[in-house]
Amino acid sequence: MNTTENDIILKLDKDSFELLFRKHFKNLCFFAQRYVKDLDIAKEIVQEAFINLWEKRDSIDLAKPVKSYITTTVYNRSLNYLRDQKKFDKDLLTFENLALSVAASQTDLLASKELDLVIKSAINELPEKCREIFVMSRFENLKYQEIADKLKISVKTVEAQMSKALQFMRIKLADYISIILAFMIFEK
Amino acid sequence: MEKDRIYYHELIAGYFSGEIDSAAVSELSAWVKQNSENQKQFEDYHKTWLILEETRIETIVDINDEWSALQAKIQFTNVDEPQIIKPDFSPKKGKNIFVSVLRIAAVLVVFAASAFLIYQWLNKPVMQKAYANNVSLEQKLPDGTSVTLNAGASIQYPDKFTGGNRKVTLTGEAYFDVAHDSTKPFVIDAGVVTIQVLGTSFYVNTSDADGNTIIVLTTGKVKITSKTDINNIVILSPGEKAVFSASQNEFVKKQNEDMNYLAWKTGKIRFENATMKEIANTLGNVYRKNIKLTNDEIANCRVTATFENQSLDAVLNVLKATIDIKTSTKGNTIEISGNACDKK
Repeated sequence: MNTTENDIILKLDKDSFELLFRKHFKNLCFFAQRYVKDLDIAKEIVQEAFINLWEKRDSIDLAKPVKSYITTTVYNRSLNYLRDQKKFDKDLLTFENLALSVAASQTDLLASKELDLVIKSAINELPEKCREIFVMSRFENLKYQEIADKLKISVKTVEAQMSKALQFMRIKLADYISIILAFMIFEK
Repeated sequence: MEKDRIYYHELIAGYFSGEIDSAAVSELSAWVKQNSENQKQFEDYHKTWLILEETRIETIVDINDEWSALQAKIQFTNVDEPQIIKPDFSPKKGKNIFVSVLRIAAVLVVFAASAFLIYQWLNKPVMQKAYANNVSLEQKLPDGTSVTLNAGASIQYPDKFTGGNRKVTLTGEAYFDVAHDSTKPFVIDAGVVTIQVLGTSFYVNTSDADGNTIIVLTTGKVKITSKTDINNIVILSPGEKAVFSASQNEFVKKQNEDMNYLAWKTGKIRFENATMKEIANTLGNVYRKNIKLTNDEIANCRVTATFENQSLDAVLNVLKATIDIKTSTKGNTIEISGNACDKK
């Protein structure tokens, strides 16, 4: 497709839509998930935001960055979800740096290959039972009850182990926490 | 108070996992606001959590799957060309012809779009699920691949393989005979690992008695990747076996020694100077019963025999005729007792 500066792109076509999707989907999932705390819900919200974008492609102003359009949709629907669940707590969200205005929202993933390896090796250092539960929760996306059922233990045990895992990881990743923070502040 | 701290730490972890209810959210909020120490704890844990979440999302969100899921929900029209209006610098006398050409082009575009829409609507892949109840079940997949599921196993697959790969989800034990297609890798989501093949036949057990994932390759080549660590991969050659432990994120690769690993499918069991311990194990796997030796002496007795499509009773009768054993059945458990064998 040959375009020059004089051309006006009137519509989002399937190919550019797919590119947008592939470029931004994971970032937006991360963003939504920070609010809704449930990956399946986050994926659903982001998928619906893209569907919404596709359906409204004729009426949106393509002069503005399309990404901010989708981000706004995701942001609004995430907050709506929290309100529906009665889990919307302004104070906690503030402590989580979830700016309560989408304009200030930063959505990009920062993970580097190196950090990824550090995290995976830290996970491998967790005590066996603890790691098993942590992996089931975070990487197999199982709920506490499902983990309890699968391992034939109580939900209380799962809660305690997840807390232990978090404490362990906090110590292991202490060095990286300050670096990540710095990036987050200076990212546009 | 130590107890309180532990309680609130668990609340924090539960909050970030989305596992606590709205009352607990308020409770946590009140605690965090109480003093700056609590606030700092919460923030520290939050930052740790964020880092973990990034890796998690990078690892477990499969963009190809998500794109396929989205495509299934959207009707794409006018996919051929984006609408671009080029500024019209041509002299005005050509205008009429230009307009009629444009009209014809518009009609063609609409026609192509509706044909495409109908094609898409007729061809949306629908997910299927095959489940083997009490006996093994053979299922043919849309590309000609044959899967034999052992009792209790299930597989999810689309009625058409669209997209760049052929992806299915397996739970339990199955034997795959994958149709060759070098343009579309065959990918199996087997719980904690992903298995990628080209054209191959192999055995998978997503979770054996020890909770490990087992893959044994019969022909061809497979690449197996840990889902929690995409850098942890193993490639098998025929005759090799991979045992993956999710809790240790570890692959152990070895030559497959168990010649009866497909007995559940073929009905053929071969024992060549096998010990009663191995025999009890194999029979337990094949006939799905708990077979125990009541004493250690008979564990070392050796037997050579081949069984084809025999019932468990028939097999046990042959064993009784071969060595001095007695069996007693209690529900799903069969106990084998006897004396030690003579050492020759």
